[in-house]
Amino acid sequence: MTFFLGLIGPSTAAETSIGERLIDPAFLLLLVLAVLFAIGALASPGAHPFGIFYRKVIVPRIAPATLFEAPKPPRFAQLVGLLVSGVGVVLGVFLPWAVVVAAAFAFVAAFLNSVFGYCLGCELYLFGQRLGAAKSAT
Amino acid sequence: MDPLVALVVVALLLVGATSVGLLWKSRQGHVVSRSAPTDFDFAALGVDSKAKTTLLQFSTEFCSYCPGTRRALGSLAREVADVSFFEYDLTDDVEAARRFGITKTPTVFVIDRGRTLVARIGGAPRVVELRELLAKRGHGSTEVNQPQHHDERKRSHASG
Repeated sequence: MTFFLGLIGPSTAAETSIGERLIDPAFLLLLVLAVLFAIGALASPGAHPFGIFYRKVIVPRIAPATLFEAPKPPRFAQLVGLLVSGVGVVLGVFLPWAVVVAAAFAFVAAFLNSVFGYCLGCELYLFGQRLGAAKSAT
Repeated sequence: MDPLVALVVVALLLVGATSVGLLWKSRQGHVVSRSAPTDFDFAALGVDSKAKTTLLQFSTEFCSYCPGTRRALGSLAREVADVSFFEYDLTDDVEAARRFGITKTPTVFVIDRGRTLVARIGGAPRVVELRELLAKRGHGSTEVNQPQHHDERKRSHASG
């Protein structure tokens, strides 16, 4: 981690102003991602831009689906994505490297999910619940 | 950020995430035998002691592999004699998750006579390994080429 921060440290000198950081392409991209995660986590899957694209462009070209996945697991994963990218956006206003670190975490989670079928809800939900329970008990 | 540095970061992320993914995948769903005695109270979860082997699946609503695991284990229990299947939802029961040491779902317990834990499986189970365990426990195997109780005959065939 320290090596990672060292890598991106020199280019994030303190001379950037808040205004410069807010129009930084990386910051804006993470902001867009955070908004997409928010729609996926808080609104219905049908309201998500990718959902609309799927319904309007993909569905008419493929055979009708007969099995549907329960919406809760992917919405949980979207919520995790929202937390990670949201923290990155908020911290990114003050610390330029926070954008890169948050984006890196979000990328790893999305990559594991899409390539290996890693399921955040399976691995993290109970872990988080037990962590919360342990905290409230002490 | 320097483009070269950015490229290095992206490459490291790809290599790192791929390694983590391969490691995670290779460790999913194995049947891990338990020999140490446990004092779990399975009856409290609704498990009865009628069947020789009980498959107990712990699930949550946020688990995308749980419905598929339920289907696979349910049909295995219907197919193999003296095996029963139970599922317990931990979504609103952190206390049970703590008591049974569950940190991820699906987790499957293989239980002898509704009382003794003999093996546990983390992640979507590898059904081949589970069938091997059931055969070892003396359930009529469903694999035609490897019936457990024909070991003797197989050996004599091999030597002859």
